[in-house]
Amino acid sequence: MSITILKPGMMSSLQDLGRWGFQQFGVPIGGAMDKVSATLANYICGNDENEAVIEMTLHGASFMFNEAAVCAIVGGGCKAFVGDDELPFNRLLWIPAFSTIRTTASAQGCRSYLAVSGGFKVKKILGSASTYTPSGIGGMDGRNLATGDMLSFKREQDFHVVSTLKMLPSGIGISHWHTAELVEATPNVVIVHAIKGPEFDLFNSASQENIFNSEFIISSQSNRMGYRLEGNKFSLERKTEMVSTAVTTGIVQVTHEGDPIILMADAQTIGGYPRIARICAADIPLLAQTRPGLKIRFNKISEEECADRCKELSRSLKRLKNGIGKPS
Amino acid sequence: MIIPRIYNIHDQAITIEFSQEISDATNLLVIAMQHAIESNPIKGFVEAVPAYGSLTVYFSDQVSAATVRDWLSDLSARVSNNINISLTTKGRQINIPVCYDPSLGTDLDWVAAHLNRSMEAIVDLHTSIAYRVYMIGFIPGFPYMGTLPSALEIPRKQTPSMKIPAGSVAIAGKQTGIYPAEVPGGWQVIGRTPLRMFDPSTTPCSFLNTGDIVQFKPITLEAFNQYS
Repeated sequence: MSITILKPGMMSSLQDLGRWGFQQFGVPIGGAMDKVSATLANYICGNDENEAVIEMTLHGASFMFNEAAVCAIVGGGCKAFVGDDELPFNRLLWIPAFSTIRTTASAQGCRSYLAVSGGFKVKKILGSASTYTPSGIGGMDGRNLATGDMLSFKREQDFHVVSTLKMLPSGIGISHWHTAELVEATPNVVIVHAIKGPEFDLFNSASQENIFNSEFIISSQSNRMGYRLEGNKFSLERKTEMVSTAVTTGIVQVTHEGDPIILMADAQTIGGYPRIARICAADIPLLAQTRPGLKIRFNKISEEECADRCKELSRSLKRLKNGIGKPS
Repeated sequence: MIIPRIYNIHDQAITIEFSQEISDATNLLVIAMQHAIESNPIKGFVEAVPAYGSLTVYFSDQVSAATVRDWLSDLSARVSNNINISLTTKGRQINIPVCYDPSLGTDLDWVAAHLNRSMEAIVDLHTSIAYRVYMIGFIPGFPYMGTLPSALEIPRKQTPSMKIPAGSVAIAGKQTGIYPAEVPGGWQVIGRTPLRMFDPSTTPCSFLNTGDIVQFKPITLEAFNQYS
């Protein structure tokens, strides 16, 4: 009733939808970078959306199943194989005992999520299974997954699922149905929708112009906390010292050197840099699937359009959840 | 009467900002507002995050942003009209033992030289008054405290240290703080406390909370070692 991590790849960690209620003590929300894909992986397995999943970054991971299991992979950044059989994403999978899932390079995306039916047995810290390494909390002893780690399943796997799947000669089962791709694969220049940030008016006119009209490259100095952007520099009309205030995922702050940083899942709770823009929350999953080195551009929208996009995304997720509820 | 600025920082998070300056009065207003919200939350309320002069409210899709804005605006008018000065005494008084031995306060000699005072004088200044915890942030359990005696004001390091040990007591500008975990940081380290600032197995998980009043008490290296 477990899997063993043979190789964690570039970076793998246990994540759920985040740690809520402790930001007043400085504890970030954290959780999956692409919460839509993590949610979808759980829905496919029939799990609650907040079950812990394995977040894989790019490729190179391999996991051995010590017992047969029902699972799903959603997201991007890798191709997954058992032996020579490529495992399709967004489908319910049956993985026979003692098989090893390994991931190889893919041109699209950045993060993929592996969920198992019933979920992994993970001790919740402050109400969440999410790994937050700076404080060493959540997941596997507060750290990223490492070779030799064993993750137990919460419950016995349901063998009856097999009868509903298409079986390959190798014993792998694949559902006939699949879910829609909610987070589109990354095109040449990724367009994310953004609105003016709280300090937008304090920036000089060139900065106000450039933030929505130029391309940026996501720097290799990017991580779960934030994406650093390379491109135009930004500066305030007048030098002002900001008093620190709350920040969160999607906020674009500008450092003293003039470089924008988009705050991501592990965003600190409080920040002191001026905030030039805010990425629409519905576009964060797309950003999470955009790897360093790629180009992005901010498409300016209004607060209302931003709210509409978020509502539309949550409606799509609800529709998918209901659709999966009756897979036959 | 303060007219606060209310704005979104996320589709499901709204900040109410009372002031852009650091003052006890504004911070008290922030705390009073947090208490008012938590004791009678609106449907869909998730959590409230206090900062120096602002409070940020996170909410679920059970409530619209417009409703939260109106509610905050209404509530802040009532709270600022009725804020009770007795709140000033509400903060817990907490003593924190600190060892100012230069082996732990690794920047103490540099700070002393820069401010043209003896190391003893720096310690005396740092322990001469109690500090208010304005907020917890940066990393879990990190208290932003002030206001330092002006004679202790010192710039941050030009290049942040790669590793500041957990428990390090540090100063920067008008502020003093305690590093709860080993992280990179740019504040000047003048001592170390043996107390644990962040422990997820305790309730609350942070040793200090916004509004607490902290008095540093010097201890010897022997006393520090006995703690651990």
